[in-house]
Amino acid sequence: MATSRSDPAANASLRKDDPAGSPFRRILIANRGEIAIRIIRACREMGMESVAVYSDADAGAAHVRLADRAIRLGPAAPAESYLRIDAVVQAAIDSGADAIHPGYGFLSERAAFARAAEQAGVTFVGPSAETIEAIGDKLHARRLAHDVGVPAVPGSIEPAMVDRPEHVAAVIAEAETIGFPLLVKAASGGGGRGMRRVDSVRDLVEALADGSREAASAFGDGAVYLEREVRPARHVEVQLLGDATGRVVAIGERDCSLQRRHQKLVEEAPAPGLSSQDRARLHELAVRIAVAAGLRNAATAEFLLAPDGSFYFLEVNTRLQVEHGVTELVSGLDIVREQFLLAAGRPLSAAALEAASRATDPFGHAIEVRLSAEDPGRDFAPTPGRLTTWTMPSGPGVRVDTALEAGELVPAEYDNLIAKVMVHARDRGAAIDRLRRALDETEVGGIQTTLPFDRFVTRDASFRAGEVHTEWVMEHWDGPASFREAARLALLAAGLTAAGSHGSYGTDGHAPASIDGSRTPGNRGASRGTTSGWYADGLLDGIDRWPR
Amino acid sequence: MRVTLAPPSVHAGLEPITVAPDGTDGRWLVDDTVSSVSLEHSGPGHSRLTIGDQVVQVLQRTEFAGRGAVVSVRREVLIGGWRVVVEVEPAARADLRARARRSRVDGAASGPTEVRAMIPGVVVAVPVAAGDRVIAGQKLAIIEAMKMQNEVLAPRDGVIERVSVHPGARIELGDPLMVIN
Repeated sequence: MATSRSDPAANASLRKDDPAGSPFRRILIANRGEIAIRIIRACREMGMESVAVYSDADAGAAHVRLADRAIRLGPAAPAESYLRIDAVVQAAIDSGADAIHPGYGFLSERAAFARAAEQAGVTFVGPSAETIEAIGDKLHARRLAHDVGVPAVPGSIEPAMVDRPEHVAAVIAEAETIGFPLLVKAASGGGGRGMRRVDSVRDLVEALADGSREAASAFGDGAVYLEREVRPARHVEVQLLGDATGRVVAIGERDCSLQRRHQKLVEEAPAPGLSSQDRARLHELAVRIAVAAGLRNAATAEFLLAPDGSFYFLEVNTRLQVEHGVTELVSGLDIVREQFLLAAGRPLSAAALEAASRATDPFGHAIEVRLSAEDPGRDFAPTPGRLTTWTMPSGPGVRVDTALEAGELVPAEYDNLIAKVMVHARDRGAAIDRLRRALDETEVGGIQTTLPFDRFVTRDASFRAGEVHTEWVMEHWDGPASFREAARLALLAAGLTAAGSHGSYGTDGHAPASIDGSRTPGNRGASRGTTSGWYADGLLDGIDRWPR
Repeated sequence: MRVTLAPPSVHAGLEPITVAPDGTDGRWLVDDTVSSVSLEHSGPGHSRLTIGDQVVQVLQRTEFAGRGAVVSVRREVLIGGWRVVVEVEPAARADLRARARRSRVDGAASGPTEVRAMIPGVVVAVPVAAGDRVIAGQKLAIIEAMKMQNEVLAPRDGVIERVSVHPGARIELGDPLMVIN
């Protein structure tokens, strides 16, 4: 593949619609996986070079192969590689990058990282360090919302401390004012990490300690606070873009209500069942907070929609969201491209302003499912390991963002997201039909994924009716029962194959007796060859060691 | 031939089945009962399973073909998005193994219980030590995998006899964590 520098066509086409040309020359992408590839693609289209960084676990990963150059950060553990501010900034300096795109997760919401990059003379593609401090910290954001008259979920606005006895008493008193059940949340948190649900005062102190420890491990900051649990609620969030002149626009909202353990599973745009007036009101609340925080670049304001129709502000994520793609599909806007233009100090583009003008009336409907390395039959337990079968869907209106291929390893060190399957259609019903079709084309082997759950969602009547809320997964999904039904059929299929194969009951007799002879002897060795690493050493032995 | 198929043992409530050709063309005995199921080969590893008016797409792959004294075959079956790992072995041998297991279980009813890792990851905390008395449901260890912390709970009351892991240790699925007696 030609590098973007030696691709005059890319530069020429960019110049045509943008007289100022490429906003940067070379971008360092401080991330891995599908989002690193998403950003590399934007770089290519804009005629900019890309520099990947990687840990030892990712030395052969797709983002490293795809980038124009790649720099090793360190060992597999995130704290020794992707979370090392010094190493990432040094990589940017060494590679001559003039900007860093942080993606999501890792260092994307660390003010210290944004500051270190700017001090090294490298542009940070994202909100300023000051904005990240003002609203990236959830407690700061709650105080800010309060100041500009945006209602937040009831709860504390100072960190809850439990390391001294007199603090414990104060925290308990505060918890009783808020009321149970409540949530312990990490001030620097996200993705449900550091979060604990507390039903009674008895469990409060332990939940605070557990949440704080998990938050410290995940984000390097153990500060936690208390928030009332609003349920059943819908999770609705607004995509925002802001420029250096202080102008902020909303590009549209997304509904991300289908979650488990506060991690999103399905996201869609626009949010079903909202009127144009609801949308306009929600977008206005989000813009008000972003303006107060001086947002430049992209951010997302998250809200809870209570059963009575009121919106409660939750938090602002000062970065590109995992689910930005559904907004791209219904707005026609390339959000990563806009991030680069805004980071270069340009005003909101004509494309962004046009998308903003249609924010309450987007094009059709888009839905995304997150295909994750988790077992939906065992309470979404993590399932890292090596992929065997890997068939992703395609066809009209389907977009798949992934970094994986058959035979590749899903490392245990990083996030469990392995692919985002997105569809776009003229309305929500057509989008669900298209998603069902796409997921029926999808096959993943080697590890269990959330695919059975995703297929279930597309066939569920209440999802189709738009009756989504944050308890939906718990109320509708019976993973063990679904697995048992599949396992019964799987035993039959394997049984018919084996019993019909005249003595060679095992080795890949795909077909029953009548059409035997289709077996491929080579498959034995091939399948063993791809089954190695922790899988061979761990799961195979693990299963052998389970009591039968 | 007559074969026995065992479901993955990490899932409770699933029983093995036996399957054999009926002798009549195209019919099968499932758990010794005549069943009108059929499997139609549709591509390498791919087939369509028909039960009554239900047709299901199935993708099969041999994962472990047995070696040495291990004659059972482990096969991955992809169906409805699920990945089901099935153990296939001659029914005669499975019967022998079932008998051996029954006698083993009878002898070990009151013995120690080994607690094993249900997920791979890194041990971040072990709030119990050898000699501690624990009750069923009590937290024994915290394992971090994919940035989530997962609690290992005591499966029964008892006294911790031995702890085999320490905070910071990397563990794989099925590794022994501790023994409760």
